[in-house]
Amino acid sequence: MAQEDPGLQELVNDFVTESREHLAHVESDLLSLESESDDGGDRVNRVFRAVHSVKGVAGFLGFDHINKLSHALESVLDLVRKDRLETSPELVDVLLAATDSLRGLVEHVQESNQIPIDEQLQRLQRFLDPNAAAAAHAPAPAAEIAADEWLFELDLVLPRIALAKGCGVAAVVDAVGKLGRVTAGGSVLASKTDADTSREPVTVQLATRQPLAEVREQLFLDPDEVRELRAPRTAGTAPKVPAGRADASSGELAMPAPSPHATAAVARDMVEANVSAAAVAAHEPTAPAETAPPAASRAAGQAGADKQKGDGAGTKRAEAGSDQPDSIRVSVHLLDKLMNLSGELVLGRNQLIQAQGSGNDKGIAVAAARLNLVVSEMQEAIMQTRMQPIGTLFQRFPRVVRDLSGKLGKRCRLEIEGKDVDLDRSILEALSDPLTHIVRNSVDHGMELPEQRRLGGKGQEGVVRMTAMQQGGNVLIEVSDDGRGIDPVRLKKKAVEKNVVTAAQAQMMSDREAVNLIFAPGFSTAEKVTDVSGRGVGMDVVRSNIEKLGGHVEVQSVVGKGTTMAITIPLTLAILPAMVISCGARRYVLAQANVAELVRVRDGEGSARIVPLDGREVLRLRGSVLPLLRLRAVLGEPPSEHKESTIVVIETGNMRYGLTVDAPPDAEEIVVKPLGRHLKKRMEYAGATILGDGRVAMILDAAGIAEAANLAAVDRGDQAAAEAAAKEASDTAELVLFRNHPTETFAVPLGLVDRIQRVEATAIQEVGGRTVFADGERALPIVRLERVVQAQPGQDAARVSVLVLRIDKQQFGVVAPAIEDIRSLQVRIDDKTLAEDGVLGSFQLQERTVRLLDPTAVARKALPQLFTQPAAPAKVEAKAAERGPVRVLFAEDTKFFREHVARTLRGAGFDVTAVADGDLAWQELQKPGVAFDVIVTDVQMPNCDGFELTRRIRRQESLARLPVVALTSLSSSEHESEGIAAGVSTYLVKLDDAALIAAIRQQAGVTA
Amino acid sequence: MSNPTQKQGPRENKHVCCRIGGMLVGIGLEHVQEINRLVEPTFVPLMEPYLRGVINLRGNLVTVLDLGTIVRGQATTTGTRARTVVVEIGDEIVGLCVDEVGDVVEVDPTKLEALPSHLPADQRGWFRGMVQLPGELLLLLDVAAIGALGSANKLGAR
Repeated sequence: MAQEDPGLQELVNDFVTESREHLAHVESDLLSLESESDDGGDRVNRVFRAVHSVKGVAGFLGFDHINKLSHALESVLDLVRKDRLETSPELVDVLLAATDSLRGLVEHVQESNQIPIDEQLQRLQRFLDPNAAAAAHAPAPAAEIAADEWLFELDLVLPRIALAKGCGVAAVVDAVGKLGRVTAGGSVLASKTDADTSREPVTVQLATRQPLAEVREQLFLDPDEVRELRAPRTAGTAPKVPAGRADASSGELAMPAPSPHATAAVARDMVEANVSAAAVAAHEPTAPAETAPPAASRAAGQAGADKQKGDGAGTKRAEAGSDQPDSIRVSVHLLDKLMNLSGELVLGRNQLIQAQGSGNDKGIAVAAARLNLVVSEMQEAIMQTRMQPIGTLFQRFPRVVRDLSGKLGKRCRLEIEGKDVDLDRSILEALSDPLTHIVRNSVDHGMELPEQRRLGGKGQEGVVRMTAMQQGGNVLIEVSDDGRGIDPVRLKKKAVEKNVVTAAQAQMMSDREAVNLIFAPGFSTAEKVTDVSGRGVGMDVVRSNIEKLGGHVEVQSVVGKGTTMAITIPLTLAILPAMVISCGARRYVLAQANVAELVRVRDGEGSARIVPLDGREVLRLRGSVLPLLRLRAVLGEPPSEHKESTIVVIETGNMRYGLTVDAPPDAEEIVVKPLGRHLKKRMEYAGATILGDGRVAMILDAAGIAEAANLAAVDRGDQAAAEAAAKEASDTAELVLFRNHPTETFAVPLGLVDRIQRVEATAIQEVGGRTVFADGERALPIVRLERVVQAQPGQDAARVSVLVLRIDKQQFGVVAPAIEDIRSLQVRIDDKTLAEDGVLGSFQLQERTVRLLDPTAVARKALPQLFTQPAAPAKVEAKAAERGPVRVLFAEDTKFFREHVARTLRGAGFDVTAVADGDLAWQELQKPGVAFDVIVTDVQMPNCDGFELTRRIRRQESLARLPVVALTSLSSSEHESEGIAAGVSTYLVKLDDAALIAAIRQQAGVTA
Repeated sequence: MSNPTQKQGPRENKHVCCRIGGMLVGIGLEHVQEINRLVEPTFVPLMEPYLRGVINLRGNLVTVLDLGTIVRGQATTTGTRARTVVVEIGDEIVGLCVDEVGDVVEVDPTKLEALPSHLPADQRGWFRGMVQLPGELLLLLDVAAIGALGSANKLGAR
C-alpha cells in the first residue's frame, strides 16, 4: 500500500507519531490499572479515548488491521469502563498484548494490513463473549491451507531455539517464516525481537510443505512442542468447492469472501473432514494470504535487524524500522525563545559589521560582548530542544518489573522519582540498555522470593526504586532495591574461581572493593546464565557503555538489606571536560573521565618508575604495575628527543595503563564533533574538536588505543615478573648521602649510622698517628675517606659533619664535609665499575654517580687495630672443625646484596646456600636430607618475606628451633618488634658484616 | 528511487575544471558545494596516504582528500593557486585538494569519449569519460568512485 502522494505520506507520518504516543500512555495506564483500583475510572477512559483515536485515523487511512484491532480493544475497554467487566491480571495481560500488537502494526504501518491479528482478536473476543471462550481456543482458518501443505501447531520457546541455532530471536522468526506461512499467532511472533528473552512459548500455526521431521529439525523442537493439525491431501484429489461462505451446518469454517483484509473475529471450528473445501477456497485467498507471512517475516526480520542495529549505545532505535522520519516534540515556548535569540543574533552581527567597517574598536568590543551573551543563550536553548524528561525512559520499567516478577514468581513493584529531570535524547537512548540490565538484575538476582522475604522479616513485596536527580552539570540516576544485597564473601570466592583475581588479592580487598568486582569482565555470579537478565552480558558492558557517555557507575550494597547502583552522567554529550596533550606541534585530546592521574617520573626516585619488561615497558606505580604506551608510538610518530617524563595514567572500563606524553597536559572543556566516515574507521579516534584557536584536534579513544596496541591488562604473571625485575635491580634502602668533595657523593646505610655530629674542624686531631675526635671523655676514631678509598680530599672548612657509624659494636666516625640528605631510595647498584675495597658499588641519582660505601671494609682498612677480620678463637675453630662448617641458608632477593653477603660469609668459613626468595628458602628447608644450622634472611622479599618465612619455620616442629637471623636495610623499630613477634632470633641491619658473622657463630652455638 | 525518465537538466552537464598535475579533471557542478583556498588541513596520523587531514569549515569537520594522490599518486602542491573543492557525495561532504581551479564548462553528454589509451590502468577507474575541449582533454571525474574510497578496507579493525 505504497503511498506516492506526499500529502498523504505526511498524514501517515503524523498518524504514526501520534499513535506511538497514544499507545505509550496506554501501556502505563494499563499497568496502573492493575495496581490501583481507585482513579481507575479516569484511567480507563483515557485508554479508551487513546485507542479510539488510533482507530479512527487508521480507518480513514485504510489501515484495516489497525482499525479492527483497535476496535476490538475499544470494545473490551468499553465494558470495563461501564463496570461490566472486572479488571483482572488475565484481562490486563490480554490488553497489554493487544497493545503490543497494535504498536507493532503502527511501527510497520505500511505492511500492517498483511500482519495477522487473529490471535489478538480471539483473545479479546473471549472477554466480549464468554460463550465464545471454548470455540475461541480453536485455531486458525484451515481455509488458507493448500492441498499439499501440513498444518502444524508449534509452541516456540524462541530464546531456546535461538541458542540452539546460534542466532538471534529475530532470525528464528525469519526461519519460521521461511518454512511456511504462519496462519495464526503471526502478529505475536512478528513482534518478537532479539531483546525478547521470555521463555514463554509463542504458539503459532504453520502451514507448510515441509514434513514434521524437517520442521522439528529446523526449529529444534521437542516432540511435545509440535502438534499436527492436518496433513496434506494427496495431489489431485482436492475436490472443487466454490469459495465463499461454506455450509455452516457441516461445521465448516465461516470464512468471508476472500479479500486481503479478511480477518474475521469470529469463533472458528476446525473440522478435519471439511479440509477439502478449505483446500480449494485457499486458491483464492492464497494469494493475499501468502503475502502475509512473507510480509510478517519480512517485517519481523526488519524489526529484528533494526533491533540489532539499535543495540549499543547511542544509535537510533525503532524509528529506523518504519520509513517514518525521526522527530521530537519541542515546547513552543522554547521555539519562541530561539526565534527571539536569532533576532538578537542578527542585530549583534549587524552591529559588529558596522563597527568593524568604521574601525570603531570600542564598538567592536561592545558588539562582541553582546554576541557572546546571545550565542551562549542560544546554545543553551538549542541544547534544551534535545532534552527530554527522563520519565520517557523510566516509563517502560514498570512493565519490565511486572512481567519479570510474574515470570520469576516474585512480587516486586517499581517506584519512580524525578521523572521530570531532563536529559539529552541521545543519552536517554544510550541509557536504555544499561538500565534495563540493571533493573533485570535487581529483580532476578537481588530480590528474594516472597516467602524468603517474609522469613527475613521484610514485606513480601520487594521495592525497586529508580530515581533521577540533577547535580551540577550531571544527572545522578539511582536504581536501588531492598533485596538480598551483594555478598562480598561469595563474590570474592567466585572471582578467585574465575581467575579474575588471585586469592591473595581477594584476601586484601575491603568489602567495598569486593562488591565492585561485579564490574570485572567475564563475571556472572548467576549459577547459570539465566536469559532473564540477558544472556550473561555482564556488568562490565554496562559500565563501559556508561563510561562511553562520559559517566560512571558505582555499586553500594549491604548484605540482607539491598543494593544501589548509582549512575552519574553529564547533562549533555556535546561538551566534554578534556585534557589537551601534545605530540610535537600537534595537539590531541583525552576525556578527563579517562584520566586517573598524572605522574612525573624521575630517575631512581620516588614511587614511580619505568621498567623494561620483555621488550615492552611497564610502569611501576606505588607497588602496582601498569602497561605503558608512548603516545608518539601510538600515533606512528618518531620518538621524542627529550626524555618524556610525564605519564598520563588512563583508566577505561577495567583497563589501566600509562601513556607517556611530551609535556603535562592542559585542562579544557571542548565541544565534541562527530567524525566523518573515513576517520571513524580508526579505533584510536573517538571524535574531534575545534580548539580555541580554531585548529582541529583529534580526540583519542582511551579504550581504542589500548586495543590497537594489543594491550591486555597486565596479567598476574607479568606483574610478578615486573616486580621481580624491578626488585632485582634495586632495593629500598635508607641511605645517608654526603659529599666528601663537591664533586663526589657517597652513601652509607642509615641503619649503621648512630648519629651525625657537627663538629669544629679543630676538634679533630691527629694523635699518635691516628685521627680522633675528642668527644667529651672518649676519643672517637675518625676516618678520612680519601685515605681509605679513591676520593678527593675534603675541602677545609671550619665545621664539618661526622657520621658516627657502629660496626660490630664499635663506633667510629667518618668525616663528611657536607651531609646532603637522608633518603629512602630504590637504587640499582653497579657493583663492577667503581667497586673497590671499601666501596660496594655505585648507582645513579639525578644524573650523578653516588658510591655506596662498605662500612665494614672501610673500618677494617682504616682502623685495623679495632676491626680485625673476626677470626674465631682457637676453641671456636676447634669446635667448628669438629662439627664441620656452619651451614647457613641465606635468603635475599636483591642480587647485589645476596652475592656480596654470600661471599663474605663464605670467606668466614661458612657453608652458604643462597636463595633469592622466602619461598625458595622454604623449599630448601623441605628437601629431605638437607639441614641447616642458621637461617639468615632478608626481610623485604616479594613472594614470601622474612617474617613469613620465620613464622613458617616456627610452625613446623622439625624446624622450630632453627635460629633465624633477620637482615634489614630499614632501621625502624616497628619492624623489629614484628620480627620478634614472628620468632626471629636476632635482628641486624645490613652491611654490618662483622656483626652478622658473629651473630651466625653465636646462633650456631660455635662461640664460647 | 530516481525517476529513470529524469530530464538532463543543464546543471548535470556543467563541470568545474581542475588541474591536477598535468591533467585537467572535470568535477560535476552538482556535487560542488564551494571552493576555498587551500588551508593546510590538520594532519591525522594513522590514516591512508590520500587522506590529507581535516579542516574546520564553519564549525563542521570536513575530511580532506588529496585528489592528486588519489588519481596520480602524487600529492597536490601547496602553491597559491591550490584550492580545496568541497563536494557533496551522497550524504557526505569531503574536500578535494587540487592544484588549480579553472572555468566551468558545459559538457555535451553525447560527445563523451572513451578514455585515452595511454592512461595507466590504475588511473582509469577514477574517470567516467573524456571530452575534447579546444586545446586539451578534459577527464570527467567519477565522483561516486571517490565516494567509495575507504569503504573496502577497515583500518584498526573497528
